[in-house]
Amino acid sequence: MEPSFAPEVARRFAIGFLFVAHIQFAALLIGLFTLGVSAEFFWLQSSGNSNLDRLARGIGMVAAIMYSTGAALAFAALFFLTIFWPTFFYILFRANFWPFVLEAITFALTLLYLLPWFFTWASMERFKWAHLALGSALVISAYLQQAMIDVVAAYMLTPAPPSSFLRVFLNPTAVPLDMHRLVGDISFAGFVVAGFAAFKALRSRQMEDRAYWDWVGSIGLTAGLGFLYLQPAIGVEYMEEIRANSPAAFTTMMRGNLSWLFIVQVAFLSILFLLSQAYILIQIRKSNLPSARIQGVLLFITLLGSLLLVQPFVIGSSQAYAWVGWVNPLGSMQPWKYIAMAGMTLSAIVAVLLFIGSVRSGLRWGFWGMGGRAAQYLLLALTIFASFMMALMGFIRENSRIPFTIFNNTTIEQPEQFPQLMPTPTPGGPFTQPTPISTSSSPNGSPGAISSGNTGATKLKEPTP
Amino acid sequence: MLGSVLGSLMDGMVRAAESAIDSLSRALQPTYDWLDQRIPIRRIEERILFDPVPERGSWWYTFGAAIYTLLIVQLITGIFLLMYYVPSWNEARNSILYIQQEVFLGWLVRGLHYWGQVALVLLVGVHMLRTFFSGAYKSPRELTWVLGVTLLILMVATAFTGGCIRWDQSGYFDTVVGTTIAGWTPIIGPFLAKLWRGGDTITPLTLTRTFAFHVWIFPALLFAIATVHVALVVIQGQFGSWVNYEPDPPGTRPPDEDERAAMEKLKREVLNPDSRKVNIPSRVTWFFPYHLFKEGVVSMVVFFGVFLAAFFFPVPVEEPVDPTTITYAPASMWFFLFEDQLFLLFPGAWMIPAGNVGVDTLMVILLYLLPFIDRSPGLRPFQRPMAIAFMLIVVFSLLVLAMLAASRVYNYGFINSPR
Amino acid sequence: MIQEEHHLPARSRRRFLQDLAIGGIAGLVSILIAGPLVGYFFEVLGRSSSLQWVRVCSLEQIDALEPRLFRVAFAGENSSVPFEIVQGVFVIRQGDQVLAFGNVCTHMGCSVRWLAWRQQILCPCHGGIYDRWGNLAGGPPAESLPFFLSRIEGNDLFVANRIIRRGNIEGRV
Repeated sequence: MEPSFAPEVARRFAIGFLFVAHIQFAALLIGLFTLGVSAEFFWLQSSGNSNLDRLARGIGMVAAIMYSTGAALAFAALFFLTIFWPTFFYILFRANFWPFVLEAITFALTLLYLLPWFFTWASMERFKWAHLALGSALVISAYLQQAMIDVVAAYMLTPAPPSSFLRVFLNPTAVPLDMHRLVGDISFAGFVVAGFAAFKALRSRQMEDRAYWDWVGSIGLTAGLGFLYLQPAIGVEYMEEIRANSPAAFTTMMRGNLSWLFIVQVAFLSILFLLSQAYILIQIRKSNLPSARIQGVLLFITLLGSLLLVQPFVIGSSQAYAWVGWVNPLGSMQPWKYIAMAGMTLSAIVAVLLFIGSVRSGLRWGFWGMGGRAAQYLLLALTIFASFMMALMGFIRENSRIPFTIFNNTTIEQPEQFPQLMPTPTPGGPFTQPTPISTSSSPNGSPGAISSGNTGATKLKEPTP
Repeated sequence: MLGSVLGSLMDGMVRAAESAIDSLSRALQPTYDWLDQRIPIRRIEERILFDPVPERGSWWYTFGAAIYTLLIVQLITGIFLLMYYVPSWNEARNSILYIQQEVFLGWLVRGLHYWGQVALVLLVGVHMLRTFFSGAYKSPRELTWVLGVTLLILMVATAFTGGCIRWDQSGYFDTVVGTTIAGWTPIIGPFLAKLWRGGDTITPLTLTRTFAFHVWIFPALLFAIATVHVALVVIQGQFGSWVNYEPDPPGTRPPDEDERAAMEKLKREVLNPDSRKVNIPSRVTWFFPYHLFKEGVVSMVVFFGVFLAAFFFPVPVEEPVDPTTITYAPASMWFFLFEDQLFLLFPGAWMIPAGNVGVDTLMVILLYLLPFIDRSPGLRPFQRPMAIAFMLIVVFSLLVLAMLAASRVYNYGFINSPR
Repeated sequence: MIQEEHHLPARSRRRFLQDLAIGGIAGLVSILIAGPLVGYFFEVLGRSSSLQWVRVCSLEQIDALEPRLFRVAFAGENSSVPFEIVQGVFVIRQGDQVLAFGNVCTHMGCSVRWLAWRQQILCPCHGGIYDRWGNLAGGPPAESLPFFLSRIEGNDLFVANRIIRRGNIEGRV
């Protein structure tokens, strides 16, 4: 048992709250780095649209200021982990020693790149390509840092016996989580930038200012929706890996205690899609362009898809394959939810592409700043829903492995149950493959039945391994 | 003192080389004239070797030549592999093992063939992206693009069938999955699958048919269409990209004698009503030797990379074919990883044909129709943001899907182990 | 350059007969070449294999809880060299029946395997899941694992080289 000088609920709440708060900042920051560097890149390419530079600088400033808050929350969370969950954290650290070390190194690198990137903006005016290189290094080290911590987070849900050094880093859900966060970071940052721009647009008094913030809002939204469309596909893959490797967690999330929360989650996702496309529709309508009609059709498709996606399968209770209550046939995963997701994904892609095509002339499109305030309120709502969605996703994923802290190995009650930790060093160095762990399934016992190895094929001289 | 000695030494060597080349040319002149009376060599030389090609962005134009070089490498290594490979149900894997272990440098030839395929598909992708980004599919180059998409499909089909005929576990399951996907095509699916398989199950006929496609049908079509593709580029001139029309950055040296002569020739050609060249870029030079040199460098580097890969990472031969395996997990070829992920994303009786066959067909049709959909006159990326955004979305999605599939395949082993 | 005029010969009966003859000969030659080739290529569509029965195992080897995988080999037909079609057969008791179904996933054809630790048959390619009786339980496949045509003779189970498709089960999510 962990030393229990605080009730378990309080200990769980402390970690949960701090990490959720940290992730809000961390995801936003990585997304802001990407957006800022991209804006600077496009400014360089577009020969003279100085608003892109203004946008990039603004993003850089916000990111530089906000970085310490995100980091402080992470440190606070680590602090409470060591106080409240020392045994568990010791195991986690031992199992993921090298990921933690690399994460710390890349953290230092990110900081090393971030501050010069922001503070030399003016002095590197004439060396824009060097500044861009610095920004790119920043983005790369930030994503590497995220990849390292994703290994640890994924390990808690799908721990893999570390049969080689590389497998420590590539446990089953590490890469899906990476992709999920890659797309989610940029999307979330896009929505936050859009929300901030909406806030500024609502408060601005001069037309030029309003036009600028209106345009920034559209860029944020394009990034937001333009990366959100991949999330359903990545999410499906993430779920498949969880089902294959930690089936009890899958059952909890999709068929058990947390499945209703998943319906709430896809409702949030649908709202994000719908509000984004509604925003696009409103903006296009300002100019009376004919593509407004197509956007209307796309919005309708997304609406149908959303209604299909949020259907629950069972109104009642469900555990694994046994359900009690009223079965809603429209709520079945196959084919309805897949059809809904496919339709929404395609609709979002086309909507974003047409939006980019319609407002291709950038700030010179004469309709920025005009129109009512509905579009700006939509952006504010999008920011709030995106933020909620991220918090909820973390809550669902982390609670799906209860009562395990490391799935199938370490529990809250008995943290001394060690999973298999680091492989013993082999003479060839960390990157050689030691003998893999035996993977035979339970022997069949009857002669002639196929168990591992009894293939009976004749072989020529076998290739040397 | 030493500098002037070296300088005069260099001058002497250059003069000696020039006089040697001159006397060689004079000696060969009668042969050249004799040939020219029978074949229009002089015209070919004028038309192909001394063709004006753009100077700006010229390094980006070298991928096509690298692809053609790699194709020839594939052809030659393939011919040599053919001398040992037996497309027989029982003997195929044994013959490949023989090549790998017994034949002198057989492992290297096979490795060149395999890594050549990897480099080829990669380069075709890079070449296609470059062409898309430059806007070089626009009028009058639509046919070149259409032929290029056909080449992409043929290339992937050749690479895939080549993997199938290995007839080890990976080759066998590649064939199984390939024929099953063909079978999922709406309406004609079962017939297509039976046609490819040569029956209701995988039989020796499947292997021989796949072999026929890989060794003869696809390569013949590839070379024929690739030659027409290159011929079109030569006829229309390589001026499709917006980069060709960028002004020279300040500080660039002014055009020299060769470049001025090339520009004059180009202007004459554009005025000629028989010629299909219609654009005049900002700066041109002769194809031979300047651009050919760049193409040679890139082809050499690519081939050197393929050679190093073949040398240090020999291609394995997997276990013999066993349809009753409980340990082997089939993995698709690397360029189909994104497709493998799509299989997972379109489940069930309705969505498999709609999603897999439908989405793939839609993508191919969109690729074919690209020059006819994107008719905007502007070439620069900011003048066609929708096309560029579409390209970025597709490339990004394919990369993410491929990474997800790669991670899934890498981790299959854990599924087998008891928890 | 001067465009040359292309002269068409004047329409005449002779010309018409000439055209007809050329067209006819060309058509005939094409059919004579293409016909056999097309037939040659498509003839596989008409071939089928004869019914064969092969012994799988004895009845004592069949369990009620765990499907056991056996390998069967049918003699291959329609080929110049003798070959064997090797297939895997899962056998399990269900009540008083014996089920014999294939190991080829109905999604993309990979070989499935029984995993004791999760008491399910799993396909390694895209995560298709079947229960111990081969019914579809999850994942991308569209159908349950197909049955083999089977019979019991004495104490042995025999299967034939014919499969019976099973379709989807009711109420699958």
